[in-house]
Amino acid sequence: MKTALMVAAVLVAAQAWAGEIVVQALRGDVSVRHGVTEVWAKVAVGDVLRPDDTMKTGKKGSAVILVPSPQAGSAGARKVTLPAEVIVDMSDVRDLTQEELMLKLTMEKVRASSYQWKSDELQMPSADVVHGADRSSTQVLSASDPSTGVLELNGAHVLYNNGFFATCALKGMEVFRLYPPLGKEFGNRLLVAEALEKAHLRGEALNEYGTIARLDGITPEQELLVHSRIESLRK
Amino acid sequence: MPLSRSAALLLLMGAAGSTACAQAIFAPRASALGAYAALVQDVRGFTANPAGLTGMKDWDIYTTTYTTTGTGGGGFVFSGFGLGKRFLGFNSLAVQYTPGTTLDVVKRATFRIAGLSLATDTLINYDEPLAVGYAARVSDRLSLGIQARMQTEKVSNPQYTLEAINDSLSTILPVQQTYQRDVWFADLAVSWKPADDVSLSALGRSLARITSRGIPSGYDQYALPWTRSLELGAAWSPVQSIRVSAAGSTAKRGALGAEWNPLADLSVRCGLYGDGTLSPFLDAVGVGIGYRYLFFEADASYVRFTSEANRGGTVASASFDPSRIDDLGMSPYAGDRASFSIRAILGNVRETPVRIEGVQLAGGVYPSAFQAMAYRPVGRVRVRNTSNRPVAARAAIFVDRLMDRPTLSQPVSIQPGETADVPLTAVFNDRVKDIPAVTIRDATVTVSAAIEGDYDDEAQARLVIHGRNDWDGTPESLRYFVTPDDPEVIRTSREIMLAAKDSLSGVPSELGQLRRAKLLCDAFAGRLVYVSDPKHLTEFVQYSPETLRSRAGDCTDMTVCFSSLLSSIGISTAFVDVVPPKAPEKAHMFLLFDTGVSPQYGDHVSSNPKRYILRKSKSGRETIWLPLETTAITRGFEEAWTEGAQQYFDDVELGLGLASGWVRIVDVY
Amino acid sequence: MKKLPVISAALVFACMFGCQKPSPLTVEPPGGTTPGSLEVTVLSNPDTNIAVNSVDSSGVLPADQTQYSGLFLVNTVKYDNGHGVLNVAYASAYFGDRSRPLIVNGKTLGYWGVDLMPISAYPMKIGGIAMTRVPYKIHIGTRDTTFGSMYLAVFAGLQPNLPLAWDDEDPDPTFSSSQFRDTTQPPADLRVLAPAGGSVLSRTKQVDLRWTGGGPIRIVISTYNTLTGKTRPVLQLMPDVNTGSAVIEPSVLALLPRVRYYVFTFIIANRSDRLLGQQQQDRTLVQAASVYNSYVQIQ
Repeated sequence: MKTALMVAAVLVAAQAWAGEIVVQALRGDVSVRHGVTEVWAKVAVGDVLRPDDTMKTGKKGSAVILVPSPQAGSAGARKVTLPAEVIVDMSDVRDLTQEELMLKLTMEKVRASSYQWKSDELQMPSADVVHGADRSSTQVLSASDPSTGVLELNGAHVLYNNGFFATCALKGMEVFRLYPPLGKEFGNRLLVAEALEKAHLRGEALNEYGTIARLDGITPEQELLVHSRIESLRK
Repeated sequence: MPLSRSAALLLLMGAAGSTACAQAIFAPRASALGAYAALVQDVRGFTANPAGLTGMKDWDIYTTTYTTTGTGGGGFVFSGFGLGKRFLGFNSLAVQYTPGTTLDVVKRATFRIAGLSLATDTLINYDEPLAVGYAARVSDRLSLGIQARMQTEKVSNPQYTLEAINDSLSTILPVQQTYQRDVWFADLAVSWKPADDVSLSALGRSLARITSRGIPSGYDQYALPWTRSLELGAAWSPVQSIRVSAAGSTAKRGALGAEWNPLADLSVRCGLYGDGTLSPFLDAVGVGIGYRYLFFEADASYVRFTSEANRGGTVASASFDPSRIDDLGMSPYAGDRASFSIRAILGNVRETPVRIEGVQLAGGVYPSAFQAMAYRPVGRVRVRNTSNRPVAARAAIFVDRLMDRPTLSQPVSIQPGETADVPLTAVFNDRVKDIPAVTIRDATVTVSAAIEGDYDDEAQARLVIHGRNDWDGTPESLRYFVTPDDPEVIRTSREIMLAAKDSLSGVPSELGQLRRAKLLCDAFAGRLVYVSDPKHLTEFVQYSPETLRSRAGDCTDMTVCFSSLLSSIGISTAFVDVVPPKAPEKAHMFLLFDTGVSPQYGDHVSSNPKRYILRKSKSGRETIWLPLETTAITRGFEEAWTEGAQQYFDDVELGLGLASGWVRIVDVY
Repeated sequence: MKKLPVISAALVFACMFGCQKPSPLTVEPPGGTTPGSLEVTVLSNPDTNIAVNSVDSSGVLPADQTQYSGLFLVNTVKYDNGHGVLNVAYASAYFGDRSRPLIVNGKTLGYWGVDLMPISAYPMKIGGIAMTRVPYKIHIGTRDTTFGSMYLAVFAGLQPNLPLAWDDEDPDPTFSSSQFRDTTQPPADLRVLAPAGGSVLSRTKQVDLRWTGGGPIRIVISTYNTLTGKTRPVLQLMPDVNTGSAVIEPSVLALLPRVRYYVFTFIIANRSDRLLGQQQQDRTLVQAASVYNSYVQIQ
């Protein structure tokens, strides 16, 4: 058994070294969703995960994955531990280059702004056939279950703790969009702001701290903390 | 001649009515008006005022004929013709050949030679065959002119000599002696416009003379006089259609004239000639009309002398006095005269303040996007302002059959001497949609600086008009293939919605659009076939009705078709154009559609956020959009969605294609 | 250029329209003279050897005189040289016998003047006045030679329109040599108003002629030798109609020789031409004339 484990570990290490994400260890409820599928599937040690995969750990689950990283020196891989109740996209477990980060941030800004597709043509009369809103249904939708968002934010913490500050910030912003109530919590936003700061995105961090300062229900202490962060950033 | 310009060009050259040089009566307009020098503005009768030649536009040709109605008259005489040209902007030159300005005198002899059948009459001929004038415009209101007029006097007198045959007998030998003298006179003229409706002028007539020696002093009695005179004139236009003129000279002659334009092309004239040496003062009356058509102008006039004495073609010896003939046309012996003339203006008859320097048309016209051509420039024309005033230039483009009329651009202001690019837009008619394949058509591009619609220059440019199904490969252009208001599309989508009416009831309104999209796509599952481009290697796009009818199409055709169908039921769509930088041949396009669902309800769409995209819709609200791989729609909505989502994630999220620019999302509005 | 054919057509049309020449101005001769109404004849000079009367006194051209055997003249002659008008009225009768010429040095200088009276006992009368027989003289060299006779009568004046009869009052009309009877009608009195005697005329200007006196008028322009008094006719001008005026144009004056002194002889004559003599072959001129001579200078 031990031999098998060692061989497996070596193999895993080798694979991680080759630039792939490998499941090194598992415990409890851990599942993986491949790509754009909706189904959570079982995962085993040694499985190679693709960048479009997402890993979820249950209440008592945890996992260790080997992630290729240039900082890991000759080993070529880094261990990332996923605690319980997290959702982490494999595409986030990596260091973004500055360029990639800027591009992603630009995309975020594009999404967040009132940006309209620029057109140098005159707006022609729309050819759309516009229907009135369908009032026939009496059903009211309930908002998305925030628990998923919480798991994803937990995943963002994992990213932060493992030094993936950029992807942590981006993930946080994404979660806030899908789950607006989560975006109103001080702690959640602070995570993103700190991640931006750690990612050396001073301007973005300042914006984020500014947004935090304007949150409803913020306590004076929290406000003070935010302002001190702002001040230190401004220096 | 536009009336405003007539009024503006009232140039006053002094012409005393009957001392107006003979060649003035050569022009019917002149003879009808009497005081004409004030109104000289072209080659007609320019010898009354050579400074008026600056009124010419370019080439000016003129010819006249007349007949005298007195007892000596009968038949039309070719009076002559005039030719003028304006050059270098402000200079004008004219020449006039008037063989009809002539006076032949037959002085009947009192005797006959016995035994000889010889004409013993003395023949005297006076001619004014030639005049040359030059004028220069010093400023907008001042012109100077100079002219030279030629006069010839010819005396032909039979002479007899006695030739002795023998001591007792002599015989008479006749010898015809002809003497000729040529005289050139020089005149100077100046005209000035103190106001737009008033003109003044002065003419120094016969200031200098050069004469050849040709007639012996014995014939001095037949010589025409040399009279220097100063002629002053004035003209005034009280209203645009009326001009009145007056003239007077130091030779005690004067005239009054009036011209009225009851219609733009019709002129009515009259004039009175006065002579201070006569009693009564009134010497002659003139009337005339003029008619203008295109670039022709025809004039007619009739001059009647108040006294018919000596005007019947025969005078007594005692009444014949050449020293009184200072004007061959209006001499004391001239009879009543009816004249006719035709004038033609050739060349550039309008000021052309602008010129086309170049025409640049865009890559071509895609009929699918022809409506856009009405708003998006199809090209541009570079226009230069060649005048000395700012102009507003408008360009127009016209393609025969494909346009109902030239499309005018907006006016573009151009400063003097500068160029500007005037954008050309084109409004095509519905025929452009019927063009099956690439064709080349002539496009006429015109530019004008005036509102009348006359263009100043014309250029031909080749305009490529593509086939109705041709597509230039850009997602922006692909939008124009989307026809949500096409009757067939609407009918299809409504039929499907109607058939699924029951399944739609009970669906929360927030998810309504998603549901309908799913129903639409599933309705075609299995009924559509993916085929590659049917005719061309690339860029042949079917319109939605074509795809619906043929039930086959490539990815672009499908994308267009479903975009049309979705749009027809009110669902916004967008194209996602992917051109992998390392494999551009694998360029691909798929569809995004707006579910209308707010992000907070994302779980109702999918539990996997990677399956959908958050983006702002046209309303500005951020909603959930789903990607669809339209070629997979044949396998059903879910398949199409999954494939589309995977592609989107791989290209945009992982590949950062959107941020890098090799993925483009184009909304179909 | 689309305009070119139209222009050309218009110009051609306009030119064709005027094919005529303008009518000339006709200047009529002055004074109501009919154009060409003055016939100008150059006079030939006859054989100057034969003695003839000068035209200014006889009113008969020398050329005419040589054609006639007999001249029966009744003339009123005025001479106007600017210092006064000399008025002479006379009658002369001469009949030359052609069979008896006077030949000197081979030249015929004249014919024997037949004495009409020896034949007839009755004197030649004119208008009832007897004529005087006078020798007929022919000038040879520096002398005059008598060669026969002629008859002369001088009047104080003649009344116009009063017929004068040539008559020898021989009651016997069968006497052949004096079978001469004629009646002649003196013409109207002739008075020349222009050119007046003594006038200086210019060759380059027209000469106006004016006179009073109706009837067939001739004007003979002769050179005049102020030393010898001899005249030599050069031109004869004959108006078609006697209107009392005529114009001599410079081109006519150009025909005159370049001498200075001329006499304009105006003659109104009633003439008749008769055959007389033994064989009825000799022509005789019977004339009653008013002659006015105006002596002028032409420069």
